[in-house]
Amino acid sequence: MKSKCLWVLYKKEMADHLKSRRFFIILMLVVITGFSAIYAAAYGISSAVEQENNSFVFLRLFTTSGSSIPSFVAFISFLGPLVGLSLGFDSINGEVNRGSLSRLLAQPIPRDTVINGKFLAGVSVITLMMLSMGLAIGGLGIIMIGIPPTSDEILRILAFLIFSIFYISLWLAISQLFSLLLRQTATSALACIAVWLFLSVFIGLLSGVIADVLYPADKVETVEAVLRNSKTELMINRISPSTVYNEAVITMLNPGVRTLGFITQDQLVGAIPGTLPFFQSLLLTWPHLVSLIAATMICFAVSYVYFMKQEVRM
Amino acid sequence: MLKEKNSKKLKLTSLILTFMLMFLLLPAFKVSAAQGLVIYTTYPSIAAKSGENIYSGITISNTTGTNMLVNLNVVSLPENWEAFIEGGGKIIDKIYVTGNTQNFDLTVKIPDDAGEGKYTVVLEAASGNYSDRLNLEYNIKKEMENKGQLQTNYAELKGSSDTTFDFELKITNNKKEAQTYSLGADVARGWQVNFTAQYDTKQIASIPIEPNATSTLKVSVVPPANVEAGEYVIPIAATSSNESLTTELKVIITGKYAMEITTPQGRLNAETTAGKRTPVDILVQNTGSSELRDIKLTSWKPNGWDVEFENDSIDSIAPGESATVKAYITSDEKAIAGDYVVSINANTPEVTDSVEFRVMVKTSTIWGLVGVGVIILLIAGLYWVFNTYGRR
Repeated sequence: MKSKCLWVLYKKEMADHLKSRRFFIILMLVVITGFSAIYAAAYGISSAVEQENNSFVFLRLFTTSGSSIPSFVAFISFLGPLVGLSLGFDSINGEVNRGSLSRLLAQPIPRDTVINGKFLAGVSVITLMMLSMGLAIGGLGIIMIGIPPTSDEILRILAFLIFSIFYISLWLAISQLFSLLLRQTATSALACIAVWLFLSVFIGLLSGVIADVLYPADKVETVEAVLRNSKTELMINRISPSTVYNEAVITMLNPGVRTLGFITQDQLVGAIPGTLPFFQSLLLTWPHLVSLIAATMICFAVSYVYFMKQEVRM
Repeated sequence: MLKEKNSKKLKLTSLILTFMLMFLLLPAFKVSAAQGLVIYTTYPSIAAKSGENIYSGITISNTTGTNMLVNLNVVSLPENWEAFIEGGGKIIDKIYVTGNTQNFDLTVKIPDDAGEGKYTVVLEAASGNYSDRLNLEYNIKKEMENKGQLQTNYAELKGSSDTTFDFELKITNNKKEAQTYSLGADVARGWQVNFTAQYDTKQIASIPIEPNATSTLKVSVVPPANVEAGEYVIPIAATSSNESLTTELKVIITGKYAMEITTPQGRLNAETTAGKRTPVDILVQNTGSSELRDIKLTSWKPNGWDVEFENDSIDSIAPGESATVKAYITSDEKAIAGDYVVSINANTPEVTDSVEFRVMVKTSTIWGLVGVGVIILLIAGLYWVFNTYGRR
């Protein structure tokens, strides 16, 4: 009974999302920028591939930035949140304002199916978008550079897509929370964009300032002071999901990345530049994945509790 | 009138007498002149063979006390022979002799078809009343032109089995015509004998040599890899259509010290987790032909790493045998994931070898499991939230 209601609501929400102009505009934005990034990368790579016998050429499609266009990964990291936010910023308060929520809840359906259905539909749309983009890019990449991806590369691209899905889902959960907390859709949209801009752009500027205040490193330039300053800056940056996502995705898509923290010269003695196997890269980024999933689940749980306790009589 | 007639007669007689006296005195003049101008050579009789060029150093001596210009001339030369008088590197026919002696050369070109026998070349030096003759005898002998020569610069060479032995080989063609010698060596299987030009790397199978000329070649002898210590004689032959020249090269092979480090499987990589102690089997092989004694094992490792050997040294390994030693590689706890290099060296006073291990450090999976635990906890929490608040 409950799962059937959920299924009905889920289908309805999916249809709403896929038909909405808003989603179409955002999708076009992501697709156009994403594909131009891939095209620019492939254009630069195809000449480089012939010269150097580099494995993991396929992965470089995602991480190489063209002459004037940032890499695909950078675009997803910056525009991905916009997709999540656009899917969720008015999911509850929009219905409240239209008065459709009280009518919906008057039906004999469990109350939590509404928020579950909305969230699941959002996640599904994101998954659909990312997977189809991944496949399209894969196909385009094979045509443009003429080298099929190896199994290791396929695994890494899949991991990248999964990371991206969780990353965008986190922003969906955040926007859904805002749509519950704030009555006006415009306010929640603005709040979402404020959080997005803060976490994507300003935290990077702010973290340096905070780190300098806490551990000034410009006066006494000892190794320890500089290290502590940099570590503080990195930790503040890691509050932002963008930083976490960027670190994880770069590690997954560049097998040459061996560590994400700071390393001393001592640790480098005797190290040979080489690539990590897939599972080692995954282990390296495992904390990032866990924290993305955890943040998403916590955000959703908070909205869930808030929604269930809310009075809906307006 | 009669008196006048008589005096005329007397005049004529005295004139005749004077002439007669002059002719009588002339030979006496020549004898004394021989003491004034002398040409001589140290070796007036030379054995030679046809086709050869013979140089003779000639000395001219002037004891008259006055400087004089002397004409030099070859007065007698056998048919088809050629002779040049040379001074100061140029062909001359006059020489100016001051008070003492002067030297010049005589080059005689003996034609190829000169038959056996004695030939004489006469050189004359003449200046005014003075003159002298020098007879040079050339004794042409047939037997001299018969046999070519094959010579090496070293009688024997010594080295280990992986040495390339280089000999120098001189082939002389003493025949009258150019000959092509094909070169060969009679060696056991596995030996390589290569003939190369002295300043070239091309291998030579046969070489043409001009008449009365010598060619120098290089012969390199490469013994087989598994050759035993000992003495080896390698006969070398240069064969033309007319003659066969042979010589022998002697090579002495000494015992070789060689050692190789590897693992029983030949794999030179290992996997470890940061901070873990990983055993690695190391195989020390004696690939030489002498016994290795007192082999010491050492290692080079990254900072914070440790390599322990079960035994630091091996007493002895016979040729062809090997010894296994266990090494324990402990990586640094702070080692980052990925490849590190650890090298293991074995030393004896005679020979050393080292091998590089690629050690891949893996991240501990404990934190991965912790992450899984966190997610399980979150799912449980979400389930609890669903159960607590979802019943409305």
